[in-house]
Amino acid sequence: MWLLLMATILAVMALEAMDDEALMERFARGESRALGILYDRHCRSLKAFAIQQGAARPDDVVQDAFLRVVRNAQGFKGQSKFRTWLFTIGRNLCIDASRRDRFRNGPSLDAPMGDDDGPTLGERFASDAVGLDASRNTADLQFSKAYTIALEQLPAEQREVFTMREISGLSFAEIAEATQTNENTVKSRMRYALKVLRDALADFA
Amino acid sequence: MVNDNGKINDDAAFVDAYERRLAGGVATEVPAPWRDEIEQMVRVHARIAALPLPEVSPAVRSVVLTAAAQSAVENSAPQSIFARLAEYLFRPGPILVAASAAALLIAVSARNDKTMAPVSDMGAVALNDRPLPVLTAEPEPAAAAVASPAPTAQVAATAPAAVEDLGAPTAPAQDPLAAALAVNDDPPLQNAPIEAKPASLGPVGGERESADFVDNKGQYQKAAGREQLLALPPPKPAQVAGVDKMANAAIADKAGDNAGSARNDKLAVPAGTAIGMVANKKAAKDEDLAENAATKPAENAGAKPVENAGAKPVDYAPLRKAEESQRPAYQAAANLADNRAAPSAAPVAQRSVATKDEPAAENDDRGKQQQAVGADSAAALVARLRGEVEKTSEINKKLALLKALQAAALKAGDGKTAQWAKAQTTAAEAERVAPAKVNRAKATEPVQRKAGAASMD
Repeated sequence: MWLLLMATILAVMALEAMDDEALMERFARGESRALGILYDRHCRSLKAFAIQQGAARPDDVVQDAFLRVVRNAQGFKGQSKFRTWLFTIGRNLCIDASRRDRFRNGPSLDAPMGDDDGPTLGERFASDAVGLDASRNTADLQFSKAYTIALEQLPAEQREVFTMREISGLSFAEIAEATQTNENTVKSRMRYALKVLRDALADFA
Repeated sequence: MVNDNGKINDDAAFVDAYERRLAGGVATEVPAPWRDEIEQMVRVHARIAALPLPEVSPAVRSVVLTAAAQSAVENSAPQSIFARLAEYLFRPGPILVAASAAALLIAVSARNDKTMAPVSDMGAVALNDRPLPVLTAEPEPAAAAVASPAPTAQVAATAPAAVEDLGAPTAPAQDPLAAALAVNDDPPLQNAPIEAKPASLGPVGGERESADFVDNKGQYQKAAGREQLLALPPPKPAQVAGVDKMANAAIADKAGDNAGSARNDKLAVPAGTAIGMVANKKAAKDEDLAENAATKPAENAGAKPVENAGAKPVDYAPLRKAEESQRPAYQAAANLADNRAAPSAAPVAQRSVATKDEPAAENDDRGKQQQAVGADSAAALVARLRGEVEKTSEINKKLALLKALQAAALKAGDGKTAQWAKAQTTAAEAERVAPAKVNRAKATEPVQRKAGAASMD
């Protein structure tokens, strides 16, 4: 029994030491634990990406993205990195969601939720976007709100590139592959995004 | 940093400097115009990196992992089952077992086809009573093999080779014969090179059947067509031997002719049976070959070496003398005449085999000729024939002797004797015709008298 438990732990540790592509290959061969490790690695950054892309239900984006990974696992050939593939799926899901929500009459971000003293939807979005809750200190809350507002001011392409680079940690080459643009374009978008954010967050720098 | 238009891409250079700075680069390495800006962005980046990432609902995780588990089962289960099945099937053991079973099935089916095909083709119901052949090396008796003749196609396929190989050993088919011949005290002239031929003629027993065909070729060759061939009576040795009475009689005569020899005296098999017939033929052939080897080595120079291979120089003089004393003169004469027609250097096997179109009597003469080939020199034979002619009073026999004498004399270069023989032949023919005319005249005389009397009346 103990030997079995130790073997399982060692196997999980060995899986956790693998890179994303090796784990995906193991999952394609029928080892479901490999996908669990991949999920744990990327679910939160994908959710943050979905939030900053304006997805109304970021958890749904995460779930749908990983379900697509499960369905298309046999088609993953390892020609690109798993993270690039995952964020491409997430990006497409966010685009589809924004198209669906474009014609939906939603509440204003500035309207208070619940009673009149409650946070606005924008504040809630900001706190969700950076993972803060009300218990955090005020400085962080203010920075989070300013950061969220600054992101909203960015064009979608620049926000997308900045989020992928700063939040998800993708390289410029991976971002270029995910967004189907060239690397210089990605870097140009990155620079303009940095310039806007630097101006918007100069007080916190 | 150069962009696609050949211009310096400041944006890319700025981003690269920013990335290098984030990666731990020294601030002094950053170009001065961008240094303040990049340092500000580094501080903002630190604040952003300090923000915790949002948590994902545990329900999402459970849904994803459940789907992953189902997918893993669906993807891996068939593959594993297939892999297991493939691994099981392609082990050496099952492969060998399957291959052995397949080979056995093919062999049994092919053998059944060979066995049943003649029955279905020729409608010989009697052959149905023949038990299925057993895969044993034990040979069947020759008579039984004769009773189940090979199909026509098989006969046609084996006949040419069999005819050519008549002088060659056919041991496995003649195991009973070999047993019979083993009683003989004669040296095993032809038995020495006898070896089991590879079973390349087809099914088990094919060799035996082909040998039987050769030994009983008189029957097969006399059969005009397939129906006749296949309608041969079932296994009755006497009947088998009597299918072609002429050929059988010739062989029986031969057996009788050879009865005086020590060889046939020791063959304890009846001449009328198939075994006896074949055995006698085989023994006669052996003696012919031995005589050829002993008396006419030059003539046999071109003969098949396999036929004389292993032939030991044996002194057949006593046997020959005894045989010559009993052999009719016309037989030797006919043999000599045939010997003229057939080159002596031709293979003995070809001369000893009767062709399909030859009548049985000629077969018999050929068989007798084989015994006399090389027995005497031409001159001695001419002298002996002349003596026989002078002693003989029967006209037909005399005619035969004269013809033989003429041929022998021509061969010996004795023109005088040849002319004498020719004249004698003419005289004998005239003598033979004259009594016949007299007889016919005697036979018609009363009728003419009666007719004359009637007209007078």
